[in-house]
Amino acid sequence: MYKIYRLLIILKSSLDELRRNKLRTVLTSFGITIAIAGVTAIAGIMAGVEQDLTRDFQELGSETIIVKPNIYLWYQTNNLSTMSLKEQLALQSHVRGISKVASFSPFSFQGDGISGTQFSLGDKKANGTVLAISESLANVVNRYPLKGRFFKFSDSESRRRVCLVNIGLANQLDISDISQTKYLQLGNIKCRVIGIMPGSNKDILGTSADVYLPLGTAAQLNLNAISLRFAFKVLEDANAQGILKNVSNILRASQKTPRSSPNNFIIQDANEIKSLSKEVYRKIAGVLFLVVSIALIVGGIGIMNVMLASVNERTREIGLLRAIGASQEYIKVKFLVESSLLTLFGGVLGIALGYLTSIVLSSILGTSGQYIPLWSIYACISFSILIGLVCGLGPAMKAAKLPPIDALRAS
Amino acid sequence: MIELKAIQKKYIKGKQVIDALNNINLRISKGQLLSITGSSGSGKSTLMNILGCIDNPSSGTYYLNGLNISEYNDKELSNLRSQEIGFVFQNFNLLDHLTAVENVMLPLNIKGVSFKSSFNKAMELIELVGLLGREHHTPLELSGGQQQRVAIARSLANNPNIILADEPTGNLDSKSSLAILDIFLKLNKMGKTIILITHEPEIAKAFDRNIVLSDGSMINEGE
Repeated sequence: MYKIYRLLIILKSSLDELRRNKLRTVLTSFGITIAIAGVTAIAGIMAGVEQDLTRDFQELGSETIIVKPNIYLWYQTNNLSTMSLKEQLALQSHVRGISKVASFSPFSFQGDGISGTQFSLGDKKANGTVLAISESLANVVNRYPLKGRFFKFSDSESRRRVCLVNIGLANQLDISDISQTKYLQLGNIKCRVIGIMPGSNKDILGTSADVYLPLGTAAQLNLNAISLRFAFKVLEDANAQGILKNVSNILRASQKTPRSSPNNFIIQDANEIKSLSKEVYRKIAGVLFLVVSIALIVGGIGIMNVMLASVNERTREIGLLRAIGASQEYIKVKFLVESSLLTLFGGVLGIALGYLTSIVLSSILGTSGQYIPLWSIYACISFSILIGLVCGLGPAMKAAKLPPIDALRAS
Repeated sequence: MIELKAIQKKYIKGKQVIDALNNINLRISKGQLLSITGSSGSGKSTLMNILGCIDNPSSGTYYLNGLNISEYNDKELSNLRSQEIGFVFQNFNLLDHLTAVENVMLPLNIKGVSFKSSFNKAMELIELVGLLGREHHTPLELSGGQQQRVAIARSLANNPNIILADEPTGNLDSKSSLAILDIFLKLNKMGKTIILITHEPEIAKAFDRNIVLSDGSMINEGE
């Protein structure tokens, strides 16, 4: 019982000591705060990315295949190969074991496929992305309107000025109720909103956007802006590897690609992208954790330095405590508790700062990241305390080993 | 109660060996009121530190309550200091950031006594030394005499049998010195063994026994 009381009393006196030197406490633990904030932010963003990937792939299904222009070849040759409806037809008619082939293309009035588009409805304005899609995309990516209807073949065929709006933008522009006819100003044209689409406006396969237009309508508005991609599903029991090879052969034949030249298209298998993306994110996180570890070591050294200074400053106090009955162990525990509290304080502040950082960064990166995984909080707190113990050990030993009589004589 | 046999203390400074204490043989019985006098550098404080177990003799044996404590380890010595010995220093050695009552509670905190019990005990001692009403003052808000009373109260916290006081009135005016001396006499009447270093012959005269040190040796003893 006495031991528990003793520990509680040490804890209280250590807290009093840190409170007495508020500025020093904050400045000393700042290094740990920054490092732990880094760990927490990375963990938060990683969790968000993982959540997004999982959600995207749950929506899309792991059997989805995307064919898109080889943009890397474009960087090398400055000549972007395009795919057309001819390739779509070739795939549809010659590859067995696949669903209907849907086509889609990023769209912008500037024609670069990158620039955002300004939308407005009444006095509300927003910026975002546009995707031109064929009516068959809904079935391939399993994404159907929450309200209203999806595009029909006739919408594209008749170049109707109709559009679908992602739920996020719909909320932003206050058009969630589409029972009344609403026209969205999109660049310099107006489109009738016929449906609200669910989910994120961004997915790993590039099949999401803020606003969707029928492919035919978009082609009429700016044909140069169309750079087709295809999406299809591998049917159950079909040989996925054989299909991928077949797709590749058919596209090369259709584009008359010379035998020695590389593919000017990329075939993306959803599963492969998922594992690849996760690996890339993990590697980035690994590098960031390494940087953060260095910050943590630097923070730890700072703690050690301040604790050593504290031992020097409080030599007389140590001498007095020894004279009135404190053992070496008591002094050691007292200084270890103090250094652990310092790092714990830094760690808790760091978790809070990291949480805020992950919210800000995830909103900039467009990923989910509003929560910090519980494991990372436990890990950060344990690690903070561990750093405090490791870095406080040297100063604590020094304090404990001071001969009482010499310590009492210190000026 | 206390028996020192052939105690020697040497300090080595470079190539020079300084004999701080030379062949000290001393018996102090329970409840004695002992003063130690001597000129500066005579070894009074060294003897006091050895008696208080905060310094080790270079050779010789120290018996306390019949036990040879010369071979005790740090933990045993710390326990002994906590249970048997109370220190009163010339410069009070109070912690400035703690209040009077918190300073008195320190030895009890180290022992692991609960907050409530140690607070109650500290308040009793504050009352004993006549500082009731000043318990929540910090040392900087107290006079020298009052600070020394707090230090005496602290030395009594664990109810030790031996009180060691190293020139407790050295920094006080004569009125405060007399008041402090009165407290020591009162404590002696309560059965405490008081060992006190002093430069003042009047104080030494008021004690049962006085030993005089010179150059690390006991040169005179009179009861």
